[in-house]
Amino acid sequence: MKKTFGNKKTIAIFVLPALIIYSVFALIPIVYNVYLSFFETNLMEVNKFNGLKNYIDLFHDGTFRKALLNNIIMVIGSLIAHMPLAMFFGNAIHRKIKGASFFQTVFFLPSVICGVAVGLTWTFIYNGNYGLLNGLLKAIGLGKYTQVWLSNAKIAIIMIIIVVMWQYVGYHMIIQLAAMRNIDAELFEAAEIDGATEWQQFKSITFPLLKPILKIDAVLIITGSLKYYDLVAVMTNGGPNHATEVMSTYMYYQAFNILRYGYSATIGVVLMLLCILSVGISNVVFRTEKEGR
Amino acid sequence: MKKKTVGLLVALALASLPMAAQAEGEVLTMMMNSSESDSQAAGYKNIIEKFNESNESGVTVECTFYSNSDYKTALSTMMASDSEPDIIFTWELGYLGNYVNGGKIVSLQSYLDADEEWKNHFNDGTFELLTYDGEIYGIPTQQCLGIMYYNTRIFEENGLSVPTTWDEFVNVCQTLKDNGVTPISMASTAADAWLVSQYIQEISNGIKGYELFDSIYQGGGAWNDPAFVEAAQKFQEQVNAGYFEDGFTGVSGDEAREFFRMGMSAMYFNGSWEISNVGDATLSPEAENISCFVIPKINAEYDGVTLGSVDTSFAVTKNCQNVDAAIEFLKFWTNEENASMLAYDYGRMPATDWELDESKLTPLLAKGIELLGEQKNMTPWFDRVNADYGNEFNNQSIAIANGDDPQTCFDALQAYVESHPAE
Repeated sequence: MKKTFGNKKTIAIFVLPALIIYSVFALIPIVYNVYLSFFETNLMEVNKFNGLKNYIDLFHDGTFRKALLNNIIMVIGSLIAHMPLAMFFGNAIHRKIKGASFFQTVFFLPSVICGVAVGLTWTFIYNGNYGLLNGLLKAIGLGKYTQVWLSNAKIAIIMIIIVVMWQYVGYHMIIQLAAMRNIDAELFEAAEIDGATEWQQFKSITFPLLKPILKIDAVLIITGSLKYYDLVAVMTNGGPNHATEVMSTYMYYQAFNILRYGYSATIGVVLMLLCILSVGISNVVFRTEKEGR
Repeated sequence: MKKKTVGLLVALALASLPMAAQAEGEVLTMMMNSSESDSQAAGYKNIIEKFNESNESGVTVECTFYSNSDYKTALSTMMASDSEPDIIFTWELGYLGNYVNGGKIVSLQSYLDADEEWKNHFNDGTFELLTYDGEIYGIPTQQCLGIMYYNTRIFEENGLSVPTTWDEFVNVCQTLKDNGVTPISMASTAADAWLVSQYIQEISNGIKGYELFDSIYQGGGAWNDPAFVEAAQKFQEQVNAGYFEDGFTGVSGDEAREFFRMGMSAMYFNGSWEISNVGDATLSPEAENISCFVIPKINAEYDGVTLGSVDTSFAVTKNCQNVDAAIEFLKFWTNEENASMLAYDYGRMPATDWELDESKLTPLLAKGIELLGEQKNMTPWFDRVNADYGNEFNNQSIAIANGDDPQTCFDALQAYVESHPAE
């Protein structure tokens, strides 16, 4: 063993394939994207070095600010649904309520359906004329609240976030449930003997032991919400009038619809920096926690 | 161990070498905007097949079809990576202009000059929209205009006739509304935003005429021009009066067309390219009853200024190794036989002046061609003039359809244009 892995050439040969693929599809594009973000270019002949102009423009761009705000709302919405709510469901299933495995499957199911299918389904549900939601409101006598949900600029983004919350709550529930199942059952037994209530058990055993997983989960939720694309693209494509634009759909719009590849690359860089920042913050919180223990 | 690994790597390297190109006659690649569900796609395929059977250049045209929404993405990606096909479908004005400025497109001026007969068959004014710095870069094959389709059966049942003035038009809508018929079906989801903006643009043509379009087109004009605001207000009045189907802000293009085809609405505003879709008896029980008119102008002096342009234009890219063959193909596409076949069988209005046999045209297309002949000045869609500003115009139109104040929307649009000057 030691002989084989001590040989630097062997190591290189084994690492190389993955490294090449990773470089071609991730590292090089990222570097190229950063490079592009300093240019005004349509990737054809117009190629003008712009310095930081794209970045300055970006912060004065009302649509980008709107997109960023929508992403932040999405992060908050996802954190609510995917942390406390997912934990609540996870805990309920962990405590072996009736039909636990059935609910586990039902909650998890939406997250395995592809985003486009989910988007289309919910577009039908929200449809103004034959949508399920309006039908339901009429049936329970709330007909005056019916509307064309995805065309109302004020609420369209909320309607999309509700779908995101619904789609991934099961996914995060499974992650947290797996962590709960790793907790030594003896701890709960001992607590029960000492007369701890369910709530006390959750507060003093389950939650503290879940914390490391929650940190990782938070990173997943935040980065996922920042770079969210498919549902928005299918349901509203950023409309009406940019009301549901998120950073990734705006990036796509700038590049492929109006050929501003340089500006689009700038959005990509900002998106990447925000993701790195959120990971960094989570890591810092993680480390101090460990040292304090 | 080592030998095996190296051997494996060599094998991988060999496998990834490009395959030797097949030397089976020359191939011209082509990209077309049309999906299988469009009835005219069969006509296009027919032309390509006929050309491939025999042509002087001995080439084969291989065409890839993309749907309208995918086309722009696919082409811009290919253009950026230098892998565009030889012949491309294109829109006029700013759309092709981007690629011409990018040095991607072959000037066709010398080829047209060399064949005056071919050049002279194109209708007046069609080349203007594809001319950049005095040279023609694209071949227009069809013409189009924004028209209001109407159902003659519903009009008769309600004792209505084709409106000739704006007031009559509003009257027609009101009568239909009073009689419990949906006057106009229109789509206005984000993907169909252009339908709403083209409606506002068409109303604005009747308020200030070609001058308004020209001031934006040439530069110098303002988007918050009172004529645009007034047009948007007229549109909003119609929205508030309920002249469009319930919840039309959430209705997609396909749904709006289906409402009309099924006789659930009396009118349907779209482009003349929809003739084959609404007039197809296999798809619409009302096909026999459908005719069309141009929305009457608010100021009668602007009669003849209507939303319209060239359509289904083609350009040859710098990637093309055999421009002569591409030209032969474009000549074949626009010759009398093929242009009239597309008109007779697929309802496409040709951009060329071949004599058409009236008896072979459907009444709907004949009407469309008649309307086209009556127009004096066409105002192309703003999103074809400049994709950036045009898209924002579409977006603001959606906001207006949803009830936002027209003045505020156009002020915002003007502010956007001022802060994003075109190069």
